[in-house]
Amino acid sequence: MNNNNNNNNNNPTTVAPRGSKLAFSRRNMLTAGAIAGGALMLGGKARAAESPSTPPDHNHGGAHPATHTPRSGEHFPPGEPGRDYTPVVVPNGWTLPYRIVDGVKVFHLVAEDVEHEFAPGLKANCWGYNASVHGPVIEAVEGDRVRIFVTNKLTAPTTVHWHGVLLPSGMDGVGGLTQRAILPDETFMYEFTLRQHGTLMYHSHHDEMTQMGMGMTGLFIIHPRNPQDPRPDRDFALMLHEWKIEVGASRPDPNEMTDFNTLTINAKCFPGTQPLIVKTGDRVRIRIGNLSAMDHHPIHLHGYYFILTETDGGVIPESARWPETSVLVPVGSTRTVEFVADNPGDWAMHCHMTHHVMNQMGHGIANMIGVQPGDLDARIRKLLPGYMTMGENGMGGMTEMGMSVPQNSIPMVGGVGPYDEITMGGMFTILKVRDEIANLNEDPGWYEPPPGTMSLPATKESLEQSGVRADGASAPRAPAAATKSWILPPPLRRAPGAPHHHGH
Amino acid sequence: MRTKAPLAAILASSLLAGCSSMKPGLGFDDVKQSIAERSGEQVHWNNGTPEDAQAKAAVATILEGELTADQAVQVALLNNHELQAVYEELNLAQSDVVQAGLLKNPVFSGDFRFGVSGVGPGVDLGIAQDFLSLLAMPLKKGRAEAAFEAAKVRVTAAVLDTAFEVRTAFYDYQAARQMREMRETVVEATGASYELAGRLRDAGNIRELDLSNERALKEQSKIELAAAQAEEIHLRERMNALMGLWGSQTLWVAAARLPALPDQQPPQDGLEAKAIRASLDLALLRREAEIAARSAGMAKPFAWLDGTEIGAASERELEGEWSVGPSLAVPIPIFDQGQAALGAAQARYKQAAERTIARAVEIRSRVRAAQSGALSAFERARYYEKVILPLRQKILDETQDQYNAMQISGFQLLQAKRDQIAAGAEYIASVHGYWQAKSELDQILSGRMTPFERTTRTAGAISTSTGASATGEHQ
Repeated sequence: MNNNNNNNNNNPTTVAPRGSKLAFSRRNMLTAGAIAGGALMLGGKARAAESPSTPPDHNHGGAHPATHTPRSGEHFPPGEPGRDYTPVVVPNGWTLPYRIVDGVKVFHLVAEDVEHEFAPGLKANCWGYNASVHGPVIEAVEGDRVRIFVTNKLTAPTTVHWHGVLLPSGMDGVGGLTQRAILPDETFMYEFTLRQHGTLMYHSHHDEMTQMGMGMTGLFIIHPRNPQDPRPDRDFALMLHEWKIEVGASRPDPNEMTDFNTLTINAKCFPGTQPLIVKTGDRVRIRIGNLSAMDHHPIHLHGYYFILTETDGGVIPESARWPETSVLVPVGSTRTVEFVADNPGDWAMHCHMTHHVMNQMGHGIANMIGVQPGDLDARIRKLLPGYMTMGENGMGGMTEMGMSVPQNSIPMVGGVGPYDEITMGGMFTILKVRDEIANLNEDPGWYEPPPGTMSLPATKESLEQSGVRADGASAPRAPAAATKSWILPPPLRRAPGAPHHHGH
Repeated sequence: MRTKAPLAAILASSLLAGCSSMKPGLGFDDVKQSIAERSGEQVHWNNGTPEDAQAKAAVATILEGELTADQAVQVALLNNHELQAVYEELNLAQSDVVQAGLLKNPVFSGDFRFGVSGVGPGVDLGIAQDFLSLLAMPLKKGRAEAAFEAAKVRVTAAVLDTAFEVRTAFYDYQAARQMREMRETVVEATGASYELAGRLRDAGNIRELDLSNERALKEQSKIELAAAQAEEIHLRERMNALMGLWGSQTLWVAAARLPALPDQQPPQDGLEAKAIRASLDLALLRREAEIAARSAGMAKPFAWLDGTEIGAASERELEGEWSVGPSLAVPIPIFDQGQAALGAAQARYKQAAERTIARAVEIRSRVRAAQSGALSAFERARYYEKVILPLRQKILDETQDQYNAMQISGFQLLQAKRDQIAAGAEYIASVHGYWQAKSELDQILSGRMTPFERTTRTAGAISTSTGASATGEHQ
């Protein structure tokens, strides 16, 4: 009986691990065996352990519940980047280096004040780790033993919770519940063996609202020891977040509950977001975590559909995966999507909630759409020389005015695009797919579409050829019947059984 | 006629006693000089001289330009007929002096007797002169001259009072005018806000309720403007009356702004001594004491002599020669020995002396009050100028930035403008308060006290409200 290792039989589409042998421990087997045979034992036939050097792959197949018994002390040699995994790419971010001490990967997080730039022109005093917001990505391999020191250089107590990581309760980092808080200037040590793989996270679990609102989150990525899926060529790690930073202020307001005005990917808002650069034909994986305070984010990618392959609970069986173009990343969750980048171009990738692709949107503004200022501006300028009516045609064009704005603030929308202003902000970035690319770490510039593959103003000839008039008069108009409201029929003159009224 | 001798002596003595004729305008030079020393203003008394026309021309010239407070005062001092009336006090006082230098006219008397029992008819002729008037003449003259000096002080004081009234009224008027201009700007701002709301309403973006609220704001500000206009007109008319202007002369134009604050604080050292030295009130009381003293001095030797007459009588019997002899009528001081008159005079002297001390104490207190009032008004106005106004401007600029960043609406921006205007109005009130307080201080230093009630209310009581905030319902 070995419920741990029956994974792949459950997933007909995954290939066998390359050169890896599955293993089990005696204790694990016994624990699993105790509930074996129940409804939870969804897997097919057991596979015998063949190698002591690799841990079981808990994430494939349906045997999770039987394997959620974190242990201590037993682990595998540290997984090495390149050999055991392809390191993730962290746009606008970085991966935390480690040292190996007696076969244990040793990390050191330092919680501290960080002045963070959200985009050129907007900085704020946040809380983060190791001089960055969010914290650096912790990257390890299934079976690794990790020891993570956490030094608190904030003035507030804190803890770190390893979100989604299977570990002993006392290592879970919940202030008050599983440990006392780490006081300022104290250093705590967390140590556990990684028994799963996937896209996980870490964040403060002491005064969460404040500390996460101030930026204290990070990604915790565990690569499989024995990958079942092909290794990606490009493996991106993105963390979503939302903030409230008053225009002109320089401190996130963690008390905000609804009106977030700075929406970020890896703590940057467009145009500060670093594009995702891939080569045509690359197998691309994008891992997206969301530790926003209050909002889920449907992340939409242009030019492709992708397959949702993993959640923070693990790999989705191939039979259960589905294609889509927007993946909803709920708060406190991660989603991993994959696709093959076979469509070169500059492709927008963004949250599809339209207020989430705005920067520092002011909701106190009057609705100016369609207002005709006429000579009013001249009159008001007698009082306020800098006045002009704005917003009567929407929010576009803001960056072009060159007007004085509050210090330390960025326009609601606007990045300089190759042709025009990009009327986007916030949770917006660009996937740049190129046939030829020398350096994947350098922005390849704007995509130049081949002739005939780009929308241009219609020529007179093309209009005539297609029988289209430029004034729109030749276009079909909605028939009246199509737009009229439905009119309910008149009431029955006398409802059956209704009493007579009004003496008729 | 032997009777000539004593009459001649009497007439001679009266001539010796001094001038016996009026010189209109006497004493005004002293007043003029005193005014010039105290306030630097020119005064003129219309007495039918060629200078009258010059004064008129000077007024006309001043009225052609933009009036300052000093010029308004100058116009009033030359043109206010109430003052001209006050100047006549000098002639009245002079007339008392002249009167005091005149002997009472001698009294001629004659008796004719007709004999009825063998005695022929007789004639008694007599001339009698009030004896006391002769003896007391220098004393009376002294008293009248003291009263004349007192009149000069009073006239000087009246001139200074008028100057002060004109100066402060002028500041009131200037402030009211600036307030009116400020309210016009508020009307512009609320009008713009209303019009903006109208455009939004036309576009279908706001509710009729929002539009009505903006309109209410505008209409309210128009009412407030009307009140400010009425106040300005009212205060301008006060100026017309004070400056004695009517007809086309009322078209004068005032400097558009209250004078800027000076760089220096108002003076603070040695003010009490200066005010005491300059005080016309004290000078007047000293004159009163002197008059009382002279009255007392006069009362003592002559009180019971009142009614004494000396004279000459000549008599001729019907059949005989003229006989001439002096006559003397003397009251017998049995009842009235002058004790009452003496007591009254002494009491008046003591009264004047005590009042002098009381007034000196009061002046010292008032100087300190005026000095601290002027200093605090100065600091207040300077604080507005150096801190509040720049801050309001900064707020407006930053609000504009927020508007530019599309964080707030045009309504909020216009509201910020109105807030700035309100601060401007408070600043005007503070500058007004300063010039009022400074005028108070100058007035007391030039020798005149102002009513205490007035001092306490100089800190600029002009209302500065600029209307309620926009409702913000559609921001």
